[in-house]
Amino acid sequence: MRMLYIEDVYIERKEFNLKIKQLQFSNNCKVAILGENGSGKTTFFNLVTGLLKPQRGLIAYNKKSINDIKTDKRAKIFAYLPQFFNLIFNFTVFEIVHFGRFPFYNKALANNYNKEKTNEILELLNLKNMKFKRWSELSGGEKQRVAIAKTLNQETPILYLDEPFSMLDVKHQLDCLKIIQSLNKLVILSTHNINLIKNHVDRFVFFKNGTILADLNVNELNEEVLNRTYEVPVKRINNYFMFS
Amino acid sequence: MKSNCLLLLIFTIIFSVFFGSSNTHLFSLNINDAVVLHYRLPRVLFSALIGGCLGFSGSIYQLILKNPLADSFTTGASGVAALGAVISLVLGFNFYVIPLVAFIFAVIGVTFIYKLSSINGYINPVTMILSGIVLNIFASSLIGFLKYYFDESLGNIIFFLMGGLHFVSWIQLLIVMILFIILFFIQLQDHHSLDILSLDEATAITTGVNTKVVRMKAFIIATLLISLCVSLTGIIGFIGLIVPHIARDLFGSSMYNNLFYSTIFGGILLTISDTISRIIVPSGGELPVGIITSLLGGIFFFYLLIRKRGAAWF
Repeated sequence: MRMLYIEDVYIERKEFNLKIKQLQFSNNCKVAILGENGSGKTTFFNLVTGLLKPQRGLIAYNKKSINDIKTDKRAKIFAYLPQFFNLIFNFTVFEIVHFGRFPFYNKALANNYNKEKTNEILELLNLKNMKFKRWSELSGGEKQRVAIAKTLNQETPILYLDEPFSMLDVKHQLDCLKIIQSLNKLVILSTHNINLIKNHVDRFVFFKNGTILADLNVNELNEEVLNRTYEVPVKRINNYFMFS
Repeated sequence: MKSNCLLLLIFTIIFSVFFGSSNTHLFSLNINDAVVLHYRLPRVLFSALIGGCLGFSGSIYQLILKNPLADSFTTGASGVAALGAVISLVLGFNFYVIPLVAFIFAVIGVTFIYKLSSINGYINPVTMILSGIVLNIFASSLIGFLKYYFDESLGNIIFFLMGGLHFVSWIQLLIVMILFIILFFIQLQDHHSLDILSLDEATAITTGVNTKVVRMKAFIIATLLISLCVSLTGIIGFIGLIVPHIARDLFGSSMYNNLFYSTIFGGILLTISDTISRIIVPSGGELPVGIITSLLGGIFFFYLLIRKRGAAWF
């Protein structure tokens, strides 16, 4: 069982610090991270991916501290889709999605296998018809789906997705959520759309001012925690949350 | 396609050898012509090689600095390298030391520009170009100062500012060629990692690339070649800016292709530019080739700015 374990992590940045007492995530869990802007969601992702180093504390994968895992090995444990995925130069959709296979390149023999995998992912995310389109020709939503495809193509047991659906229409959000739900992986994603996501994840972690406000199962969700998170009045109608 | 482009380069070289202030006819060689060939052949080969180095380095700079307007000129690398070369010339160093001093200067210069234009690993492309060009002007002014201070005792200082393919010997040609081929293949081995560098920093690292190491290695290779070029030919601007774009438009963005085609097209472009600089002045005099390439490059630079205006930087 592959697991992410966080203990006593503290990081201080300009006018902001993030503190996590203890958090652990087990295999196959689907987790949503919620919180207002600047509450620490992206910092959290940067910490667990090792992009930022905490001042103190432990972040461990399978009981091994991330500091002891090299960059190339990390890429086989987790894949990360940052909020502002971007690239310079006009690569094709196929090439970008194929970048996800990078940790598996090297062996000349694996080349055809890698291409097959890329084609499978393109099929899965319904991107096959635009596989030779270039990055600059894509719409915002298409770019985001290509980025999701690239991240999935890394075939890691853990996925970190920072607001992966912010540009997607409802149909594509649902499509992606269904795919993610069906994956045999630990998925941690941040989002603002609680109503859409709540039927597709098992667990919710709420961030507030750099601390964890609540860590709930899907059936423990309530108006009060949402109210404290976003500081707006929340009502529950037919099991949907209304913000007003 | 690769072999076709290579053939095009070879054809350009052959064509250029038989073209110059005194034309030589391909099928009627006489002794006079042989002399012309003896001087012109190494020079044409040299222009192809230097052009290749410049195109190759430009391709690397544009990638690692994440800036489609980056090349040895707009980053200030060539200006600072020229300053290093001129200073070592003034101090009386010999041919083998000059490129090293130029290299040290260029590394310091580009590192300075990089630090100046990046915040938390994010590079502001506009700041980079601005500071690079200012650095170039600054270095050129210092070179100008040195020229006047030492007056005509060092006649060829001005040559570093204009760029030209004059004093070429077979041994220089051979050294540059061997060094270039070695560095080319060392860099080409990294082509998968280089592709990943075109992604944003967070994605590139979590895809498994040690971005700092790959970038540093590429930076040293490109700057080494630029320093060598500048030490031998002065500042030849814009070749490295133009050809990676042409290569990308024609053959896609993968760095494996881009490194190769940038090299070939750089060779072709500089060979043609040098041929033009040899024949354009009717009195038989010679134009510094840097003037031709800067003219072409300036027009291209404006074209890029107009086409990419408002469309971010890619």
